Amino acid sequence: MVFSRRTGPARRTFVLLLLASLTLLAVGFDSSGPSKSVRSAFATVFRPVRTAADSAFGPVSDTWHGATRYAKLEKENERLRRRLDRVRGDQVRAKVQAGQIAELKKLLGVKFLGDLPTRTGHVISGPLSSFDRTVEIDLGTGDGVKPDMAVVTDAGLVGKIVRADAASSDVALVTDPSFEVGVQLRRSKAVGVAHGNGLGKMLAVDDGSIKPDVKVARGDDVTTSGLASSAFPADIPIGRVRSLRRSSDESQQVLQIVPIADLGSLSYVLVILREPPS
Amino acid sequence: MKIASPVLTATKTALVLAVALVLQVSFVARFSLDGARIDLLLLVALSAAVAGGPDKGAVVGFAAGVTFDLVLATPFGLSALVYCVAGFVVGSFQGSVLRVPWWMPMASVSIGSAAAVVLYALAGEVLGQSTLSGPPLATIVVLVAAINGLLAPLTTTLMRWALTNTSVQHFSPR
Repeated sequence: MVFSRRTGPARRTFVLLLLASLTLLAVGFDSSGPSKSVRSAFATVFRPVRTAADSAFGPVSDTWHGATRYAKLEKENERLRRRLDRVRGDQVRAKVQAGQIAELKKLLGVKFLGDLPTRTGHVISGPLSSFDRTVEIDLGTGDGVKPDMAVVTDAGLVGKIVRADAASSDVALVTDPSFEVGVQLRRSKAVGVAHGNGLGKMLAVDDGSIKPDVKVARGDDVTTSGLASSAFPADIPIGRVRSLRRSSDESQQVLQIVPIADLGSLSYVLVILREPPS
Repeated sequence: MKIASPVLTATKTALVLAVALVLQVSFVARFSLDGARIDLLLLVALSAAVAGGPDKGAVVGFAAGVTFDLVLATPFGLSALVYCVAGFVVGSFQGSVLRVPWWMPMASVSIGSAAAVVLYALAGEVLGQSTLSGPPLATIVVLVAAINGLLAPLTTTLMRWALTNTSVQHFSPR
């Protein structure tokens, strides 16, 4: 046998370590368990080293990304200039409409994001491994941030806090396959639940809530539903319907939603400091 | 004859793991290919297996996994489990080969990395992490296997240094 004599004691060590790993998994699987305290303590100890290393390596990776993405950046710059011109025009119209909207908000009692307390955070790192799908921000429990709070940009919903320690937090993005959010189609007022399908892919609503008779069209705006049990405040923009189809048994419409926030290049985000209902 | 001091080897291994972790989170993780990222902690675990055999492969794999788990948002212990298994299997295979050609450590680390990535994805999926829905698994496997294989000669030398005590040496007369 290949492994017989040389791996005898090694096999005992291996079995012990295997059991230790399974114990860690069992104890630490729940993110609110003991592993949370251990990770938080380590994050606090590790932060100064990491900050120093980030400062040292940041310019190297920035230079590399700048060199490899130069052509893309040039095109993007041109596109953004064109958009800026359009926005300048829109700004004038928006000022006129802002007064009207403020009055309408008072009248209708609609809860917009502007009414909610927020903190601005800086994205300090993206995923750390191929299977990690969170981004880290520089706000923590010391800033009032708690797990399950909604994270947005000016454009719309980005994700939610999944872990928070004293000075930093991890954010699960809306595209995370384990991410679910109650949604409302603005035109038809129909509500459902959307889930992620991985970074760069669209969200899907396929929980059977959008019946065949509901009027849906490509381009319809989708926001958070804000129902009583929802973790997210109402009316946060999520995206637009990109495609729709009937399910094979014709019992529902399956929607694909393209997120409105640019999740590929997050720099700053807002954490909504509202505790979700338990 | 070299006498291994457990404290010294543990200290040197801890130092290598700390450097690998810092490089992973502050440098390597900034670069990705279609969402796939290099995994230096896995590289250290498999290099320890090549340099020290199944025993040390499993121990360093477990330690490397726990170290990585401290900063990841994936279930705590998942990396420890996968890297420990990978370290033991690669160390056992390496120890079973009588004449080791120069390319064998590179091949062992490369194939071991590919298998570990697949195992991680499957274990993550079983634990409800939807690991197969992220970046394409084939891209991750190819990237991690290729880079780890290329870096294997360097890290295997490093792990030989870490796992061997060279401070106390007794030479016996021939």
